[in-house]
Amino acid sequence: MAGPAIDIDALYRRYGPLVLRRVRRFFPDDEEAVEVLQEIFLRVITHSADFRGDASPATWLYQIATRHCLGRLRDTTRRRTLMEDRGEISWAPTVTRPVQEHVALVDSLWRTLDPQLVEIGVYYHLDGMTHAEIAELLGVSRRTVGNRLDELAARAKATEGES
Amino acid sequence: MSGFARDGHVLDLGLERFLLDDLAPADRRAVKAHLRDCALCRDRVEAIRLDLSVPLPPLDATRAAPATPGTPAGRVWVGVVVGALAALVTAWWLSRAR
Repeated sequence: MAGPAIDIDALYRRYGPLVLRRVRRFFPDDEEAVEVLQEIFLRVITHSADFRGDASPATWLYQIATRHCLGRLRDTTRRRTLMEDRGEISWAPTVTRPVQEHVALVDSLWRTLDPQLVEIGVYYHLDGMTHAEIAELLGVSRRTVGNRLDELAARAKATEGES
Repeated sequence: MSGFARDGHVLDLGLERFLLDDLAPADRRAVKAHLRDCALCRDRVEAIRLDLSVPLPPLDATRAAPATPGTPAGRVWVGVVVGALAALVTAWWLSRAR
């Protein structure tokens, strides 16, 4: 069923700065960030029918922005880590001791895992979200989130064994 | 979404939605209560407030994908072409009828 009609200009005015903040996590360069912001809202124009009326536009746009940035990073030919600046190794304010899957995700795993697993890994390890927050954002069960994070941990452990 | 992270602090998204007055009333109250007690998140919310106040460039809709028959712009062009053809056929038919 199609969601409610969306006023893209109004969305851009209200939530554009929030989306730009999200984009800057992945693309710190100002010019590139603004370019990605524009791409995201053009994507919103073509995907506006996907908007669920019961969700906040902010969370919907946050998810679109995250997916778009991860896709763009994956497509880029430049060799880079998931985070340009690994000084803090996290976006969450108080994560000081990243676990192995966190480091592996940021360094290399994100290039090879399926997009949903990377997305869940980013929400959990970099944003610091709870299973419940991620489940609500993605419209999946908490069990699914837990299973997928177990999968990520197993992949990270295998990577550790290889190195 | 409650807006809280695993570490007990407010997520960036939670603070952004708080500033945009976009949280459900109960979640907003919870964030407000947390901010009263947490200097770290109070600092973060001020930094985010500054970020959100920066003006954006206008949305450049001209960079949208080229119009196809499935898009509104594409449908307009299809209408124009069909209309022109219909006019030509009508003119031809009238000239033959004379």
